[in-house]
Amino acid sequence: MGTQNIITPETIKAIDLQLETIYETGKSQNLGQRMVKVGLGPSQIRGLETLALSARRFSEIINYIKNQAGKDRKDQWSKIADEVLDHLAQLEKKAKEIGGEDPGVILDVKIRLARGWVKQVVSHYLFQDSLKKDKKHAE
Amino acid sequence: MLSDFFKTHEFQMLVDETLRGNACKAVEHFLQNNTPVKRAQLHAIPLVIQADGLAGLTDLIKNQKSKNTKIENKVFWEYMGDVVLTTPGPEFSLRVFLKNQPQVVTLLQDEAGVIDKNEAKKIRKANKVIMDQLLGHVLKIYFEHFNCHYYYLTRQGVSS
Repeated sequence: MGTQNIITPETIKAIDLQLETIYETGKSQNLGQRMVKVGLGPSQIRGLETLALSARRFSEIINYIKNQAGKDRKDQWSKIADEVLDHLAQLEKKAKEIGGEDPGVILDVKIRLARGWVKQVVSHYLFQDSLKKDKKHAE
Repeated sequence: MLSDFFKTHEFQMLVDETLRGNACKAVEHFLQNNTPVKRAQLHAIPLVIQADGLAGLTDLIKNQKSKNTKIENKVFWEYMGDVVLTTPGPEFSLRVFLKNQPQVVTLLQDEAGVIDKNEAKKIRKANKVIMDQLLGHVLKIYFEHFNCHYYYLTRQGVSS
């Protein structure tokens, strides 16, 4: 049982490649756009971002989404939760491919992927939200 | 040493993934077979664990089982007793789950081949101490997984 892990430059590269692939597929853009459509506000998205960037466990992010969906009274998080959880499940799967057999590496890769992913989603959300506001002002 | 085990990545992986899977299954098993209870029933769980660990949760479960007049609530708390307290417990119980983890097996003494009854009793007692410590250590995260999955599947909103 080890208590130290080393993220190698090759692992960092694999993480970056994976995040680029996610970006290129448009999945994070689509999710950001959906978040605008269901009516989630910037503070809620920032809440997700803050949580993801400070979480020490990947499952904290999963549980945050589930909790938000569970207490949702405005039919916002509950509309988007399944999709977000699916994204996170895909990240977890990829982390295992990248991390191999080392649990320390897998754990670290999961968190790094989650943080990279949330930054993409939040950026797209903010962009789409600003477009929506511009459109509203123009009307 | 148990404290060393808690610092390992194997343990962190256990709580992040495998424990989460077990907690989610426990929620799904309950909801498949029983009427959902209001989320307020679950609110006290993390608080008592924070305050008093396994002992606090034990008291909560026993009190709720005895005082609850609503059938579905009683059933829920009996289920919680099965998940956390009953030894050896049903297949999905937290104790059985932990005992079956390869990393945990190495921490426990094997009483199978021991003929001397007193020796076997000593081993069982020592293993119980380890299991209780382990249980106490994972309870908070277990119920984070359990409660959030419960809220997600039942989606009762804020008021319940």
